[in-house]
Amino acid sequence: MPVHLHVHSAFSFQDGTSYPEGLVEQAAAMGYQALALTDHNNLCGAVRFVQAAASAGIRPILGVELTLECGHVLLPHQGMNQHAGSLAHRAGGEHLTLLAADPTGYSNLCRLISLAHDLGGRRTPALPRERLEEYSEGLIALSGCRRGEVPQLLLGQRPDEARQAAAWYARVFPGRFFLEVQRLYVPREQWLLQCLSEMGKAMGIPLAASVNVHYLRPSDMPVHDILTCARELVQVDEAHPARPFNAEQSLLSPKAFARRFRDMPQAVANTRAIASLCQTPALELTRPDVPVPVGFTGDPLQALRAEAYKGAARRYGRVTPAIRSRLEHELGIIARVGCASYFLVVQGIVRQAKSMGIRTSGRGSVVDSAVGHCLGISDIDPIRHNLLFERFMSPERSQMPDIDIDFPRDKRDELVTWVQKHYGPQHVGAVCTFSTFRARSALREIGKAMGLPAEELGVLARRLRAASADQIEGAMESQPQAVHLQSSAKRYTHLFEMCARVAGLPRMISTHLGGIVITSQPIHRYTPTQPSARGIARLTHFDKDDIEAVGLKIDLLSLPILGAVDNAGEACRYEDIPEEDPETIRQIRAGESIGTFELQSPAQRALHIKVQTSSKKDIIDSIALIRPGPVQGGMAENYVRRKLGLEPVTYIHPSLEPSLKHTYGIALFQEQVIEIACAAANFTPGEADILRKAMTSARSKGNMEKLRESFTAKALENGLTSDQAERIFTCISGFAGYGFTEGHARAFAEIAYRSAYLLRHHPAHYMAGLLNNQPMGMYPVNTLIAQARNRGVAILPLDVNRSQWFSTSTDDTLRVGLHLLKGLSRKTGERIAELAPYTSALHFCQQVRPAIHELQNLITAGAFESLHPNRRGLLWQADSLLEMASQGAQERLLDCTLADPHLEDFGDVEKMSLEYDLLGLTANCHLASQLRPRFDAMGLLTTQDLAWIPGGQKVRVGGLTVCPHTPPTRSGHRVLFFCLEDEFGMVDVTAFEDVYRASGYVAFSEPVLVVEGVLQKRNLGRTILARRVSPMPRTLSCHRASTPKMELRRPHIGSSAAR
Amino acid sequence: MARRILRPVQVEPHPDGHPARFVWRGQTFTVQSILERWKEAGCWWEGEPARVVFRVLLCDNGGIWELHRFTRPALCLPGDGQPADAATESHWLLYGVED
Repeated sequence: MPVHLHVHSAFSFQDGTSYPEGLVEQAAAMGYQALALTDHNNLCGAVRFVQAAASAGIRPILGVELTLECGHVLLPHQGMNQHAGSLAHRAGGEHLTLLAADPTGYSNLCRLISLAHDLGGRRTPALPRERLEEYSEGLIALSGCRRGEVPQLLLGQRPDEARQAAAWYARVFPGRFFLEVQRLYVPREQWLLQCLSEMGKAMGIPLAASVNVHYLRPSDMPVHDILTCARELVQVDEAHPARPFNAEQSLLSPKAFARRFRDMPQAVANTRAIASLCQTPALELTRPDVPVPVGFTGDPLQALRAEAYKGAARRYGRVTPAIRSRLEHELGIIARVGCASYFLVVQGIVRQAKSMGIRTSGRGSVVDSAVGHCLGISDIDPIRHNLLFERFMSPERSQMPDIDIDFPRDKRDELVTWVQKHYGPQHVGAVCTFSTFRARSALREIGKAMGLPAEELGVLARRLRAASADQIEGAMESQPQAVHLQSSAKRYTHLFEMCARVAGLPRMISTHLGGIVITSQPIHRYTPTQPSARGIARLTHFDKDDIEAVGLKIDLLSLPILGAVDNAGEACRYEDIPEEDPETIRQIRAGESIGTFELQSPAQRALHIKVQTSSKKDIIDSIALIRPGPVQGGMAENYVRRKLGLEPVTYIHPSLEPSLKHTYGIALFQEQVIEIACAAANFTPGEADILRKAMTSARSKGNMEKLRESFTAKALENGLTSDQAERIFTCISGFAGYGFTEGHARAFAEIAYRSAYLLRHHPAHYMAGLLNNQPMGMYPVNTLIAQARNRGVAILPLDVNRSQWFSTSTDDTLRVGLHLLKGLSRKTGERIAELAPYTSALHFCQQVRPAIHELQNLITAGAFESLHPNRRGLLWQADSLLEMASQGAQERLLDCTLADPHLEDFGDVEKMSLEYDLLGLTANCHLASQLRPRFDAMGLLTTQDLAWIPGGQKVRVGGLTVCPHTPPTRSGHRVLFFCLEDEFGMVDVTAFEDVYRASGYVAFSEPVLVVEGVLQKRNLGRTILARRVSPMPRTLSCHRASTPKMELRRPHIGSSAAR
Repeated sequence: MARRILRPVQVEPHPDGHPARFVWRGQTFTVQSILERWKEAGCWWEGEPARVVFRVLLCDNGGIWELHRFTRPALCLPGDGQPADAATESHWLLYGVED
């Protein structure tokens, strides 16, 4: 039985079409007893490969196709195929196949890969050949594909050097070096095989057969080809040496493998021999490696107990029997799971953050832990709020618990740097994530490779929001803004089919938002690492699921709102915000919460208006309610009706009342699912959590049926009827996958309330904080500015003499900061602020020496308005200014040149439009105020007028389009929501599916809209139920002609598709 | 390749599939040896079938010629589920001749 020793999975990033699991499954089905995985320069698929192999019962051999620094560039006619010889391709380096025979070999493999990433560059890993000598132990080397050093030298007619190279490898890998013979039916192959054969015989180096697998079946070859085209940025009808020549690199069956190499039986037999050298598992996935906190000796559990009680005394003042009982209960489970060190490590990080003045906030299920609360990880008291610890951790769960902590975005890196320093760089890495092909990326990249115009693809991609790449056709049907482009022509049909084939395949590795891993063994025992784009912690090759199998994963997440609330800290300390401020609650109840954390979406605002929010508890519930699951399940509507007393609060069984009473009989939180399972079916909390988790992650029909049976059986034993058991199961299974934990909702609700308080009482400082932490939230900067203006804050424009890098504020003013200006580097921006004031533009240029585009953007955005009011005149002089500044010219020279009377300045509307384009906002007034004469001519109302118009009246309103979106709805219909904003405020617009399809879709492309519909008023809220949505007529749009950048062009895909 | 011919041609193959002789402009040419052969996927995106290319040396100093054998169905667009080498039909093309 041969063994495939050279196999690429999709983790070769656009050079493989199958996930490791698929390869293993197929290999096992074909009867193979072992299989190797050798992706390009990474071990990203290693964990899932090992796990899949264990399930399939075959031996995994971990390896890599490593790129070595190029030593031998071929001449064009010597390449691998008719298109060969591209120097760029050759410059990619030489390949070597390496296989780990044992854990030492695996560790060396990790080190070599890491070195290749360090020495070759972040995107072009390549290892100097001589570095192999340091880490060759435990590794088996195959000479590689045609891009291997030995084949390259042979193809280059340099046989002596080829022999020398082979001898070198044989010396570095004594008894473990093989000449790799590949039969792929490409030109000059037979000759090369003959050379390798003869060389092997002459030098005593054994051969090893391979087919360099890149896909499962021959019919997958077009996918491999198109991915290669996308990777190499060529079109399908263009030649490129990296493109596959034919469809001969599939996973051959043992019989086909042997038949292909029937003239080289020993090379086939050697694959078996090599596999037998790899008997010891290279990577063992038994138990995560939990580090002990630095400087710590003794029993971690005792230390944790001491810390928990110390914290309890601080938090509660007196440790009551109830508190003691809860702590002991948790400590008992922590001891059984064996993760006391985990808590101590996290406590150390939080403590360090606090000592560095960094705000932290625990999120997720850790909020359910009293020990976590006492250690300072979370500020929510789980004992007071009766939060269930078993949602966070239980002895029945095999996995380590997950602790997530939020930090302000700009401080997170400081903390990660500290962790790295504290535990040592050899023990800390960043968790990676894999960017996969989704509708947008597939359309853009695959479409370009298939030769479709980039502009058309861009339009199409922009309009297909959040769709999967294998659902493009479905998305086209359900989204009118996409259907409107008549893209059903054959080329697009082919494109959509191809997109479906690449759906979900990984495109590249990138850094996970917050995950870091800490290991007690050096991290190279488990994974290679590579420099990350941000340059902080080194990036591991394992994603969040993989990493849990090897080490301690902690999510140190960025939460920009924490930075924003800090900004208001001088005016009002976050900790001093009163518990329940009536004015803040009233503001939330009125739906005036744009800019707050979590409460600003139209759905949230509408909910608070409906339920007449009167306390923090309503905020907590709302955070759990406005989620796709509860909304689609109709829970939000039921909740509102029950809260308002419009329908009775009922329970399927009386035993559910204690857990559901505080949410009006509706399950809102994950903890309630656990409590229901315990009450109704006598599960232990740990078992119930396993049930909840199974409902979340293993939702196949078969699995759900099994869970239903086991739940029903236990519920019947507990005295419920089968109807009650069935209804309860349906209720919790429908909800389990989507709900929040109550602890998490409480943690977020606390931040939400406090952000609303700051917005209500300190709008200038808080809004400046929001601007300084962009991008964040759902509204654009201009909307935040409009909100601040409507709250009485004077917005001060960008000014080189007054603006700082970040936006600044006083109690009633907000000065736009330089950070908002497109194209301005932070270095220049900070220099501008540091060297101000300036007496003239020339003085500015002499002092700051900006780049030309920076100067132009500053002028265009009005930053020199106080020095030189004529922006167009100054823009005209930008080049000369910089030239004069470099020559040390005097200011009067500039005054002469600027005095040109023929250079008329931009008009007011044009200035605003340009400013909007560069800053994302208009400081002096709202754009809609410039359109007001036109709106008036059309008889349109303002958002202010809607205050006095009674509900039920027909209205026509004009304004800017803000945040169009079509969230999932209970009915499954697409409903469009957006806001219409003018100089007086904002009104929410709802367009049901018929209106959305007929005219509403323009909201995704038109910046200014006219909405006709019926005004709906409920309590303090206003919504227009749209009947027609139309773009601002071009003939009436006075400034269109002069503001081309405000135009959104709409290329017509149909015309190209028909060609 | 000095001269491209690109014409369909009648080929009498060996049992192993290699060309034995072919008829071109009424004249029969006998293959002395196969110098090289390889497989090409063809322009799958246009529905073009895969092909096997033979560089052959003809008897009697007849020169080096290139013959392509096409197999159908083509590799084709995704979703067809056809394996690449599920040939149901072959035809030959006389691609060209080397000087």
